[in-house]
Amino acid sequence: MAAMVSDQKSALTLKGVSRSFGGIDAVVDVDLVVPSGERRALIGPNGAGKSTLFNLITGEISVDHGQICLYGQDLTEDPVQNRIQLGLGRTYQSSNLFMQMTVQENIFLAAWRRGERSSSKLRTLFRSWKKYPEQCSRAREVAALVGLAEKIDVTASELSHGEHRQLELGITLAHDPKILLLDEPMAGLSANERIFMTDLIMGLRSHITVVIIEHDIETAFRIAGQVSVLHQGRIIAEGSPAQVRANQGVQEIYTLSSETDGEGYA
Amino acid sequence: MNGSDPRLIKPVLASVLTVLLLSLPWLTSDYFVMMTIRIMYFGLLTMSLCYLAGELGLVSLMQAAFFGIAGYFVAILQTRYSLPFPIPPLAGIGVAVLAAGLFGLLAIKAKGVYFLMLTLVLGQLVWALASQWASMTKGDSGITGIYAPVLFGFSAEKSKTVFYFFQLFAFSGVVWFLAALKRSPFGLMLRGVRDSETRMAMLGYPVMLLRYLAFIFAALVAAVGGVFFAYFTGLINPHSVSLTANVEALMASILGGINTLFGAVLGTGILKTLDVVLSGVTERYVLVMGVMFLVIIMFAPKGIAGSARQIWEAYKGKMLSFLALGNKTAKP
Repeated sequence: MAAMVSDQKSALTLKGVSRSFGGIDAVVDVDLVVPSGERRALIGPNGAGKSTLFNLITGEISVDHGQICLYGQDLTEDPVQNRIQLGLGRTYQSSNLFMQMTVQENIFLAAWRRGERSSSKLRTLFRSWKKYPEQCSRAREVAALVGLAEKIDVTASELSHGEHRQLELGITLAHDPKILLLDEPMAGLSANERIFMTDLIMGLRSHITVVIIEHDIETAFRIAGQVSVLHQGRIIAEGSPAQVRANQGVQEIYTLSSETDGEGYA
Repeated sequence: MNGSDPRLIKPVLASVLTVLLLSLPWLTSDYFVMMTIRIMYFGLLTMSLCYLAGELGLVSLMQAAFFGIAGYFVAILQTRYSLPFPIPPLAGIGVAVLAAGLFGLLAIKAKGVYFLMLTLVLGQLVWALASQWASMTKGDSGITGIYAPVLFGFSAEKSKTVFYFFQLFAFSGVVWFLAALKRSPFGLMLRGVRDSETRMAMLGYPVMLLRYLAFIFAALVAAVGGVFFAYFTGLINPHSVSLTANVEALMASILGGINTLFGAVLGTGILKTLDVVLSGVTERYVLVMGVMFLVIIMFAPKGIAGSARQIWEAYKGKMLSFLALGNKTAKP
């Protein structure tokens, strides 16, 4: 009974999740429980399987073994769409945007899917998208939130790298997710952009459950209440930032990886 | 100054164009009207191709098949079964759409060069049917004696002007249809699929269904063109469903630019005009056209309409102030 209750309270539950690619074990027997509203950081050296784990959670890649539950509901075999309906949203490590479209159009597409059921199908085909004030104002609102208010009519391909990352987050937020998977939102950002992004993530409404992959450990520890460390596809440590920082195994991996691969830790 | 207000440019241009189109038969010769009719029906085929290429990033080699299927059905239903007017064209368009529904199930699964190859194969299949099923299609010589209908007592067969207005009506309808599709949320969705399919799926959009619908809409547009082609020329043969016909439309779309409907019509217009003009001047007109294409692809990869738009965006301010200046000097 106790297990059932904790399952329902947890937004995301992974049990024994494994996936290998052609004999290489990318994710091995991962158990992960993220309670609703928690900020969880997923850290680990390059190739630890962090992004693969995200792809498994969203259903973009199917699992070999194990179970994935959102709010206690088993969705292991379900397609991406069903998981999104339960409030799952993600950003991508390398910006996955609609490059030939404007900022507003990018965010509109996300906002539209969220409120779409209220409009008729025929109108969706023939009525100008600009005549949907609700979604348009939502798009402007989100653009302002992620700091792109002044770039609203700019084509995505003309934005800077930092702005791409902001738009990446904007698209996901416009979809109003309850569980947010952020795949290295700070990758390649300047110091100032990093501060902006960190504040933005920390300022997200408290009911949103956030799992963030972050290379910079200090940033990860600042944002997250709990940290899970992934190494060679396995979770090797879990706990508060202080506990993880004190963990011998984690220290070893990070000294090792920063010696062999300085870039990843930077 | 009125002339300097950029918001006025579109409505002014649209009104001028409407007046020009409506008065065309009285302003110009029969020959020019005939050319305009040709440009319109081939323009529909080009638009169909541009719609898929611009909105979905898919180049189809079977749009001419839908163009031809509609034409063939008009021909067969009219000459063989003598069905009265609205039935053959409506059935023709209906069958073309059904065919797109069927072929689409296969074609939409592929992307890029695979889509190109699949549509090539399916298009050739239709061509083979048209060529080989002689008892129905009269083989390579094709079906002749297709007459344009009589509308409200006016014969579109006898009068080019009546035909022109008949087609202008349908053509405007299709242009409105495509323009509405392009600026609707559905249009945004298609461009979303074009730019990032994974993202669209991650936002919960049914990517395959969107592609499928676009494929069917494009076929519908080509089919309308096919109906008018059959009516105007009075004949249909395997050439109209052939790869060559499709490639001509593809060249027109490269020439005009795939991203605007205007570009599609402009490209078709230039191509068809050159076809006539150059073939009168030199036997090697294909060579001349080849060189022209090379120049377009190298220096204006977005086509003439696309490049014109770029130039306009870049020099808009200067041109508008020039116009304003002109107004001032005109009215001291």
